[in-house]
Amino acid sequence: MSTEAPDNYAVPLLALDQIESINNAGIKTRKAVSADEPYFIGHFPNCPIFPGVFIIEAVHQAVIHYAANYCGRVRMIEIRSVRFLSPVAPGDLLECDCRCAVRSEDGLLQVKATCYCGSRRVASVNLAYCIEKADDPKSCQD
Amino acid sequence: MILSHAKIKSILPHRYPMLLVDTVKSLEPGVSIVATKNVTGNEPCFAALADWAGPEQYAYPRTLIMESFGQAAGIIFTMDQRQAKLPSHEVLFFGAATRCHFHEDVFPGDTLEHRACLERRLSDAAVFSGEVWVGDRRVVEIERMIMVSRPTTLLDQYIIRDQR
Amino acid sequence: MPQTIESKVPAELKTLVASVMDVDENSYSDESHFIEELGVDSLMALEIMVTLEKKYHVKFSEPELRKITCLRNVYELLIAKQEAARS
Repeated sequence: MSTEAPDNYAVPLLALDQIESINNAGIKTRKAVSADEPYFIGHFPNCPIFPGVFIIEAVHQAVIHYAANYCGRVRMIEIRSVRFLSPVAPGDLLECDCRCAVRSEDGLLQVKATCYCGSRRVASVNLAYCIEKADDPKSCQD
Repeated sequence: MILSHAKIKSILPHRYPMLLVDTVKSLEPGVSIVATKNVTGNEPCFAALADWAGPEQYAYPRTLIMESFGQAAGIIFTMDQRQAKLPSHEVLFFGAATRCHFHEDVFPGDTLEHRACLERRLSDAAVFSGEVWVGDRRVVEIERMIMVSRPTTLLDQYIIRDQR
Repeated sequence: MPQTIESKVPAELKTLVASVMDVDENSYSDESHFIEELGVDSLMALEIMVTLEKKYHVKFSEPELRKITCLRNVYELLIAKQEAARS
């Protein structure tokens, strides 16, 4: 199952190449990290390291896709916690295993993701999203 | 202390398109910083938006707000080391963050103002907290962000080098 | 709040540390080794200590931060700090 480039919201990179699986409980995605991606020349010169925030972005894009299938439009309201365990570099295949839990009573989507490159755990990412009410697009704004 | 963009480039290893701090408005080395980044419609992240995209679709990616904040915080960290640039055999990594709350979106034309404080300083790590403002609106609150400095040799075991 | 040294680590401390480690507080014991059993790395250990510094108004030195291996160590160090602050 492949995915098309998002053309409806601004992204710093395409952080989702393939969806490995998706069901009510969550989504697993893959992103191949390639040396010719435009941000590497600046992060850092002669020492390409996949920015940690782009691992969060990979989880976020996975969640957007999950939400489109299971709970509607969502808006990230909090990075509950994120921990970067190991660097990611060109040549790595980043896999994000996102466990998603909808809390309808609060209108929240909680996401706990673990990200791997092969067997190496590279990050754990916990995010919270507000689920927009269909009849009130501004329902998630403070 | 006010720092120009040129001075920032002598402090941070980041370069285009990943240098996300424009100026420093005030800096107390080892303590706190107020730094800015202008968000412009010409950012790479907006390039792929369809021409018919509505204004709300131009929200600046939240992960880039975090990266920009982290770089601003990093300036306190590097400047703390006797105001010298971080040694070139070390890289500054985003290590961890806790409870970063996003209140509202940021759009082209907005100026991000990062207000970061150094909470705790160790030999190879630093703990920050702070906020991001746009004008008189607080758009992000960061309870904790940890930056770590590591030798570049750490990467050698993981990097598959291009065979050119 | 003054505490006497008890044989069991207080629940409040256990809950706080569990939340930083993102594990269920019932899934580990006072003696569970952070690194070997719970996968706590140096970064997480730092987060635990920083959280405790804020909550209990103490300050750990860098060598102390690096020495903790299990919840009991954390508790004993915290008690020692609080005792020292009072004296």
